[in-house]
Amino acid sequence: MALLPIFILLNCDKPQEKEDRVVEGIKPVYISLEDITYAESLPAKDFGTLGKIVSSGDLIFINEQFKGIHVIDNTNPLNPTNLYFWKIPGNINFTIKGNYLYADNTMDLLTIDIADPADIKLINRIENIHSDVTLSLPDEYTGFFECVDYSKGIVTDWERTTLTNPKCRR
Amino acid sequence: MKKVIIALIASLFFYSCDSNLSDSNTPNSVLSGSYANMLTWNNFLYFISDAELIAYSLKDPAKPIEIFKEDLGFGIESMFLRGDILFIGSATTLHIYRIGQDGIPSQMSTTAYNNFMDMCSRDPVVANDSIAYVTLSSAETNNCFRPVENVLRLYDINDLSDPILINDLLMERPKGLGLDGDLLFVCEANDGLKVIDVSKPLDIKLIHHFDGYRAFDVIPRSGHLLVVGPDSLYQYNYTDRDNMYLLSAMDL
Repeated sequence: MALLPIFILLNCDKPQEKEDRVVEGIKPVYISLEDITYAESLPAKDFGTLGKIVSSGDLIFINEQFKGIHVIDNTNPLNPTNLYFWKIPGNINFTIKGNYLYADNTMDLLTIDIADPADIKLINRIENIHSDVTLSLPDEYTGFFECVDYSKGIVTDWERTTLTNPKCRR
Repeated sequence: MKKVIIALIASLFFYSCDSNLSDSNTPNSVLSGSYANMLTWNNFLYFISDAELIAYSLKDPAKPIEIFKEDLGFGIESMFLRGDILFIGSATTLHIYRIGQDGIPSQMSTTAYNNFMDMCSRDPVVANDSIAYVTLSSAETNNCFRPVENVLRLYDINDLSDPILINDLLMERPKGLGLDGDLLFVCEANDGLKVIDVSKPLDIKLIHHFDGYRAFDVIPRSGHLLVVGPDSLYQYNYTDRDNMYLLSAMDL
């Protein structure tokens, strides 16, 4: 399996080879830019692909990649309970200080007021803090992917697909 | 003058106490797993993207203001703070910075792992005052062209400008890790949690292996351990290291 891409890459150098390169990879799922500038508290929900974790007092925060943050009440570690889901489209990285949650949504840095965890509020947004396309890739992913086109919005998910002549890989 | 000296000594004492405490000994503080990419220190926010380290002032906590940005290369993976020392793990390199009172990080060292510049590995780091612990592991996907080393490495960082590799331990596929005193907790991607006695860095010993689940990252907080995997949150009590036991397992 690993030999196949090597073989194909070696062949790339020959200009006369015009055959399409078809490989397994992933492609982004977008959410439009109009839809990303918010954060909201929702009832607890099932967990998807999990990412970064933070522990603060009796609460545990677990990121669900590109979706938001699960809030778990751990007052009793024998019986932790799922409390809220903070919907923050595009989010992967976050930290907490006092009543503020700092979270990215691929390209922006958000400040979210979490003083009332049942009703969080987006209060600041810094646009385009970096230019890293790869940051929006799923954790751990290495391989081909359809290049991200930010004019289509923010990446909220990735799905497996077959790619023809992909230009991006990690 | 005497008072000043006493105050100085006292502040030194408190300062050193503080830096000797593992973060897990402050129950109300905000603790992050070892895969963190965003951390705060004093009134500053640090963020690493795949290639950059960015620092923000939180003088107005609602409105971060960028004060520093530096290109770090590629494959930047994780960030760990101990006092004012910032450790950044990438696929290939351990970066160590010291943060000034103005929040600006200055580079102390960059140490290549010499793992063949392998973009496939994913490598968090934790540290105490003398040793940095790094896990190097293979990624889950199949596009790596060569086998990747799966190993725990110990670097002597008594001289932050010159970390020295002093020991290592072969692992299955190590992921996130956490340190509390002499105990190092290491996630094995598909093989649960390993607990390693690191009281003697040159003679580290595996003392527990809790197997049978997938583990990605850990947060130790003074006797209470959180272990998160793709499917579950496991919690352990380790106040008695010889009788560490499971508190609960929650499906995620």
